[in-house]
Amino acid sequence: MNLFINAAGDKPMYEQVKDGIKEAILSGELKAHQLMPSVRQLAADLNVSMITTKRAYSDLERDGLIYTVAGKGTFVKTEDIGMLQEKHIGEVMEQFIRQAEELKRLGVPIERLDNEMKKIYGGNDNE
Amino acid sequence: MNNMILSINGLAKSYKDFTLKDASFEIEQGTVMGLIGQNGAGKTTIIRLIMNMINRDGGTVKVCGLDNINDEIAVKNKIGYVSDESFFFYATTLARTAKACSYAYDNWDADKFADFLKKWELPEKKKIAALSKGMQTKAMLAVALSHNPELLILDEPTAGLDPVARIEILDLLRDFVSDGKRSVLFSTHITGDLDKIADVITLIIDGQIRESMSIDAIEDRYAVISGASSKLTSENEKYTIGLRELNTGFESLILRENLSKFEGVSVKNPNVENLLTFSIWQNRKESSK
Amino acid sequence: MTMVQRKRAVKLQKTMYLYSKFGRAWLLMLLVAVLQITIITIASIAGLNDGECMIAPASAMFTFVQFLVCMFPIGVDNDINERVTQDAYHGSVMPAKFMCSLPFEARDLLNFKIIMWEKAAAVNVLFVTIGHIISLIAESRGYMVYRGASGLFTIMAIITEIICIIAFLLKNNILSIFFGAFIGFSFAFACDIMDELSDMSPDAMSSLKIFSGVSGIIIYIAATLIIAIVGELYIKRKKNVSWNMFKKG
Repeated sequence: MNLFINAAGDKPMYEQVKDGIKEAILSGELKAHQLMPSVRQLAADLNVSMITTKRAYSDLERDGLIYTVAGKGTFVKTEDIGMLQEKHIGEVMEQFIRQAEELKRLGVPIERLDNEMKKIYGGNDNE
Repeated sequence: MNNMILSINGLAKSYKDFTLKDASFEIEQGTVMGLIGQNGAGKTTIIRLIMNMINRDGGTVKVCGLDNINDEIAVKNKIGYVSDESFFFYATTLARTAKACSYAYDNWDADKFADFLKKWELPEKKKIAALSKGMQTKAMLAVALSHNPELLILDEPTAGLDPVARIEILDLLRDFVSDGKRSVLFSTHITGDLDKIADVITLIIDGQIRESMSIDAIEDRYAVISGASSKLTSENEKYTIGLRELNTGFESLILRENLSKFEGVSVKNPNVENLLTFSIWQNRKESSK
Repeated sequence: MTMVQRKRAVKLQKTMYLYSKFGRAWLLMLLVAVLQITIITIASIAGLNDGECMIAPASAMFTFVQFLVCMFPIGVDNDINERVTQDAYHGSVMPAKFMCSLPFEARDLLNFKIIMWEKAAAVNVLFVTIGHIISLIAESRGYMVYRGASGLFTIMAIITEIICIIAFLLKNNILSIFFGAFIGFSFAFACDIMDELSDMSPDAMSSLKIFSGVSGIIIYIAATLIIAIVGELYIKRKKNVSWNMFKKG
């Protein structure tokens, strides 16, 4: 699991951890029912306090992304992943739309936007 | 024990030119508390009061539910203490010191102490005065950890250590609290260490405890903003905490709920150093009014 | 001192001894003193010429020297331990911090000092007793013993002990050493002079006879006990809640 914590980021650390794990789950990097590192192990790896990882895990559990089995550990949930992925896509789309609106406001022509999109989706064709 | 390893209530101590007022905080089992504040703010006084090194003028100190004066022996058996300067008798050796400890403590673990000496390459038979500061600090830690304490009280434990040793010690402390039953009180200026390991931060300024909050609550509550000076207006300036105006703009700590009052500023998650420095600057402003 | 407190004070003593270079020296001195006494005893009891009747009173005086000999290292030893644990009173707090972080109460320190005094007093009582016994044996064999002289010795020992315990309680062991030495040597000097004055009537010191021999032993033991009790009462009354380690606090 690759988690990038940015100490200089604007979100609280626990949120960054939570978002990182969420990304990993939604992108399929963390598989269904996969065993997650313990709160303590994660804190040690990320060099943060256990409170941070504890909070991240409890938020993720509340959001239905992970579950804990007493004595065994914490695991990734699968059931609603599809729906959560949809929701996640929706959130990112909203952000994208807002950015696009900002670009329009700044006077960027649609062709330029198009070009950028083609570069991202088109792969090598346009090189 | 009601879950609190250390419970301080209304602790007070007056000196001629300094007063500690009404200090109260609690340390839960399994947590690391960072104690921060300027020199002379009261950190050392609090620690000395917990260790009964000085007479207190009021308040109570309870360690695992036991009063630190009435049950001093039991309490001292539970506390592992590391001082900011070496507390060893300089003319003796670590071997003899260990022997002294074996008489004094109920649960002295000679093997564990020997392991620490080996791990950190501390010479047993050399005079303690001949050891470097870093080695003496590690020796103090070895003593503190070798009698099965439930609470570690550390006063600037990493100050004399090289960076590798510091990381090792932090890992050790993490391990110490990992069973969920033992805790650490960590007083230090090296806020970076606290970023890595502290669960709760207690901030003390001028003899008064200003904050005692868990790290995630701090990160929820505060943010650090910075931006061009033009973004600072007469309306939003009052929301700043410890505002610093620089040639390159300004930066300040604010409550996250007041983020909307500022436009076009960059936002950063506050770390322990931010909490400390901005609070001190704000305090200076308020006392100079 | 309760049994529990006494055990803890002994534990503290054991812990601190490791820091004291003179820790075992007083045992060595004790050994030397025992040897001396043994030699004198043998010399006194085995038949001697009349001219050596001085050995009997001399032995009484020697016991006083042993007293000093024991008090000195104990005093010094205690001083070093004192320094090690109560450096705070003089500004430096290094080892005192260590002692304070160990599971002891501040009161244990005071009790420990009483134990040190008790040790010295016990040794002292032993030697006074032996000295008086030797005098009695010498007398029974027909030697002339200046009973008054050995009685005087008991009085001086009591006075020195009182000064020592006061000095202990006031945390000033150098005081006890100097007083003890001063009194001891001036007394030894006086006894020397008395030896020279062979025509001195024993009656001059007859009033002191009660302090020598068996009665001397009993009086001395009683005095030691009284001093011990006074010391205990003083400690009980003393409010010593914290280690009071820093001058300001």
